Amino acid sequence: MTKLFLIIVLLSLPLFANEYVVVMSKDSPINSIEKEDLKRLYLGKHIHINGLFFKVLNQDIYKNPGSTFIKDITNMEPRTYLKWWIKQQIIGRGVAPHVKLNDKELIEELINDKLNIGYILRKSLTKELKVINIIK
Amino acid sequence: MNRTPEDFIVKNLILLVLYCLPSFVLSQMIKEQNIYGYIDLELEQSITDKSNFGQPTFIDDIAEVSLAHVNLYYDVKPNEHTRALIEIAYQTKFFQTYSQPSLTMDSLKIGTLDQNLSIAQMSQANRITPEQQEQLEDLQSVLINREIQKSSPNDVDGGIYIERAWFDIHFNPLLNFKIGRYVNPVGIWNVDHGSPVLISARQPLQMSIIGIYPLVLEGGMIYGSHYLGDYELLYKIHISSGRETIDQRPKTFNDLGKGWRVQMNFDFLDGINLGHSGYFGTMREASFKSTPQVVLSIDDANTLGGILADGDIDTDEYEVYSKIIEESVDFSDLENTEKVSNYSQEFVSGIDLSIQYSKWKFQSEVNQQIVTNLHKVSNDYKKYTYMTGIYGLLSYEHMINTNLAVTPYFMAEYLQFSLNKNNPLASYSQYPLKIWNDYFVGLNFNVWGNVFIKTEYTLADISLDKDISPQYTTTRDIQVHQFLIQFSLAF
Repeated sequence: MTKLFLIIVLLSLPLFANEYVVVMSKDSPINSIEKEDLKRLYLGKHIHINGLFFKVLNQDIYKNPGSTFIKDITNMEPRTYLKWWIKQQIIGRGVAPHVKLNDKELIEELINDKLNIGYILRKSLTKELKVINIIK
Repeated sequence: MNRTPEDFIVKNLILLVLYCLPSFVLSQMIKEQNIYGYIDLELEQSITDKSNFGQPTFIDDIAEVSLAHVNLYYDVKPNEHTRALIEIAYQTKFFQTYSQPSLTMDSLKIGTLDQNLSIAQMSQANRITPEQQEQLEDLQSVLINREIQKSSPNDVDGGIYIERAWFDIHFNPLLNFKIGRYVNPVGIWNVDHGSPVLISARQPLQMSIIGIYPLVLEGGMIYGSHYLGDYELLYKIHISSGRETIDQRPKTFNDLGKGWRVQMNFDFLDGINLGHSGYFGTMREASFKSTPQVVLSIDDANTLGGILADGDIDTDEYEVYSKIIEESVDFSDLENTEKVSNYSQEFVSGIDLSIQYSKWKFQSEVNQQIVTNLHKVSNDYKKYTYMTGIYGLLSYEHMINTNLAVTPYFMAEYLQFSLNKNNPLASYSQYPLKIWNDYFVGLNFNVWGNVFIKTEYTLADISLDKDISPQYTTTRDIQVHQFLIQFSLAF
């Protein structure tokens, strides 16, 4: 039984490593965020929550973890999400979140400003970042 | 003073410099800047079922390929509290949303030279009956106006202009300011007006060539939003220079345009949005008080007498009649004519609804414009006219695969005009419009989210008001068929 448990844990490790986490700088004033607020940020419906102006960072939405994150948070496919943002931009409501092509670029940007918010693979976590809990 | 195309371009270039210079300076210290936009190309074929009063000037039979729009956005955020947006647009054709200088009908005079006869003289000589004289003069007015429209300095083919140039100041979700040139925040599809945003290739006419609301305004706006649980309430209140038309700049504070919008977004189904928009403004259309002369040769007078002899004008006879009149009008005095100003107040209001359920989308808008004539010297002082527009669109997005979706759609629009002779806005057409129905059916292909290919067929059915213009009693309605393929790319 113990062996079986260990096998399951060991097999699960790569899966957890590919899981995304929402992160901000360790100096960020928040520790958690409502899933609905996160959705509003990534859809540009809000740029500020509780008086704080956030800058939203994204990754390539056609690859993991971008595609998984967008689907989880906004319930949209990449094509639909891109179409949504084209509409927001053309009607003048807002600009699509900045896309960083990999975790390294995104981490640098997150460290630069305590109100930048993004997501990375759990395996890419560094000590300058903190994981923001998503409240569902 | 009328604005020529050159004035229009110069004004926009000045605006461009005025907005770009500060933006350039700001760009040295801004936090974020983005450039994006869209481009679209159209293949269009229009065919008109010619009525027996001829081809309206605002509808052309067209078979062309054109680069319809190129819109470039420069979006800057100097800091988290401010944002500026400049949209530079190229458009192949400008919609004639503003009214044209129109001839004052009662000032028409029919001139004579030597042995030639005027229509009035034909009547005096009992060559035509008084009714025929009236019919002839009405038709002649239409033709003369058409000639004036053709030579109008506002008949601009297209060009580069500033669609938007504004900056926002954000305080909190409830209170924000927008200052500059902005799209009038009314209804759904006046704001959502770029080809990648629209489901159909063409907007409803009330949002395009009719312009039941002013489409773009220059002024200031207060706006905000608030969440009531899962429901979002949005509001916008704005004050502006009003309708951007010929000689219609405000002269007093009361002339300024005032508008508002409230919208509630409900979290039912996959989203239900309900909105209400309103706008007050003034219109001071300039009109020519001119006396173009129609001089008929004796031969032409005889021909016209013969055409009118049987009391009716058929299509072939109309063509002959048109040619004679067009060749007989003397426009030499037009450039020196005196202008008179009209003064009207407009009130436009409407409601809109959009429902998203799974892959289905329904949206509809109902708008009404009431124009009150406040020009004291006019016979129509304090009389009002109205224009009502309704459209509904139903679409279904079918995903073929993750990168490709096709959306069949159907849209119907109904426009009703009342006493449009007194409505400066309706004078883009020299005909007494009564009902204008449009039916749009098409397919919208979306590839990768940012490429759109639309194929569309439109049928426009136009009826004239035969009560206020009896000369059209024998006139058939006009039908226009349009086939359109539009390619657009957002970047």
